[in-house]
Amino acid sequence: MAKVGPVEIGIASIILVVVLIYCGLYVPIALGTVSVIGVWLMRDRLDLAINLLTVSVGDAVGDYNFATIPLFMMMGLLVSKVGIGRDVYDVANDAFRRIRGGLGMGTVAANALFASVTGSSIASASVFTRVSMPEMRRLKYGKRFSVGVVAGSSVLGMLIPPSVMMIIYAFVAEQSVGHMFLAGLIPGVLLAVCFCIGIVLMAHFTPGFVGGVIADDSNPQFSLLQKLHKLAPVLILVVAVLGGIYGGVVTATEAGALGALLALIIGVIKRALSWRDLWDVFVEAGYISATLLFLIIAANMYSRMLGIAGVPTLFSEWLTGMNFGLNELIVVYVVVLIIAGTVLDTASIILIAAPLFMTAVVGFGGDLVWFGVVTVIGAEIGLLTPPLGLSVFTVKSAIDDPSITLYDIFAGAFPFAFIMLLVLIAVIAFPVLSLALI
Amino acid sequence: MGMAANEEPSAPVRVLYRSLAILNITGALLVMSLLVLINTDALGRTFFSISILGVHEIVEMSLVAIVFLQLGDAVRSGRLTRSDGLLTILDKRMPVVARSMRAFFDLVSVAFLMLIVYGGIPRFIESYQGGEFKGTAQLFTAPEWPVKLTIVVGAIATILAFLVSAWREFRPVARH
Repeated sequence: MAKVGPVEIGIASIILVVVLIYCGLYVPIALGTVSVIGVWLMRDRLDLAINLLTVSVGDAVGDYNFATIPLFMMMGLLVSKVGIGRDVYDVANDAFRRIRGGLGMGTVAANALFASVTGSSIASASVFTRVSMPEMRRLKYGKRFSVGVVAGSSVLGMLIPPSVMMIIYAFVAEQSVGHMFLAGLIPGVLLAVCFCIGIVLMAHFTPGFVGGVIADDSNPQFSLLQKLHKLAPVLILVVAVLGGIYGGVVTATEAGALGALLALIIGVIKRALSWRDLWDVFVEAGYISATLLFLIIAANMYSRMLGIAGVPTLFSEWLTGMNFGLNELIVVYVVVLIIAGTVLDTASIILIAAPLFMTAVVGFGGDLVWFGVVTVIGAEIGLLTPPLGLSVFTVKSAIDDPSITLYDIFAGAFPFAFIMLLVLIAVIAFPVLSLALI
Repeated sequence: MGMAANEEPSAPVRVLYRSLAILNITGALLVMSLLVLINTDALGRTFFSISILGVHEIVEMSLVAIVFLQLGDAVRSGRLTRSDGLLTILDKRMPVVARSMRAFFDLVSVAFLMLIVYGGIPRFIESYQGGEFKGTAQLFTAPEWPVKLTIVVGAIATILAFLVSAWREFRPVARH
């Protein structure tokens, strides 16, 4: 066999991972298998490769902070079951009902509020498909706009803390989970505001796309007291979870546990949780956590393998040699994220792409917290773009209307994906948006 | 997968699915205990200045165990992360190719998990015989071998789940 250096093996393994994943091999299996083969070829010893595997399997997720994943998942699943989505929607809707496109803005605002108590976009997408779609259709909003706004605003779920994607990035980049949460707050609110501005503009310039009539007064109005009552659970959870982390009273893990416990208590008080629901929440949280943690184990092997091959360092040197600066690097990175987003889920993108670029970003003097926000927004654009937009698929499967096709949802979500890109550019250009609260 | 799911599973497959469900339930119970344990510790420390010894160690080991307790059932229910855009297209145009690829990928997964088992068994024996533990001696210690055993058992269950999945890709064809 001709002598092939570790760097060549490293680069070949990246290509192989991409090809295998694209063909449909399970993402963690692709990462793990290629890593084992890569280390085996580089060191010419299978026992070292298996050792890497055994160490990653036993240690990679054995970290106290990883408990945030099942805990925040539980909290999100509980608040979805308890009907908090419906309550925040009622309040948000009341505020915007007199404006053209108001139901769209109400959906965005409700999503932003709901996002502050759940960590996943998928939960938001399925809750608001059921809650806000019927109302928008009743008031004759455009079909594509209605589904588009639900899919589009669901991305707020993973940006406004708590956010499972921020947790995952925090581990990849060895940053504090609390810092990553806080970093996502301003960009998340900014994105929600930009969605609303976008809706106003669309209602003005493309009224046919937005559609809708101003709400009649047949719907009940809510008094301030009723609104407070509906918002109380969210306020309690936000104060406990984010306040706890921001004030330094609790760690992110404890905040997750407290949030899940409070959500459970709220569910019991509202009599909205059966034993069966509760058990389903534990099982579901276990499923999602296990698949995410298994992915993290495999990604841990992969980044160790790349490290052994020296790929990130070489990549960094190569970029410097090309006279690249931080700006060019980030442009390339965002393009990679968006392309990866067409075939991969957000967690996989973060785990595969971020370690490759991190060394170079630090080398160019970029901040890793800021880079994390860029990573999460960039990877999340993929939730809305074909062929594998997970939020779009979630809306499709939660919708009970065969006349609305996947194409309709992708078309409706497109303006929102575009607004995300604009906000991403702002976040890149003004790091203070991410770093102000830290 | 949709076609196969309608079929009544044969006896050995039923036994496997039952076992996967038991592992899954154990995992869900562990998730639940994380919630109780971390809250008790945090609340106890805040209000009564009492903290539970070894919470960190127990949580860390539970996380590893949860992965391998749930993995097999996640594979059975088709929830392991994959990008199936190409496979979906091939399903319509070249169904045999799509099925072969799915089966091949399941077998690659079997091979990968066999390496986990191969590396995991000596680790289990080592931790059992060596009395390895996590924590600080005299304050709190928890033996490591139950987790190492869970990894091996969970990986074997997952291998079986993948084998059933691969086998099912070809059953509808074999019938014609």
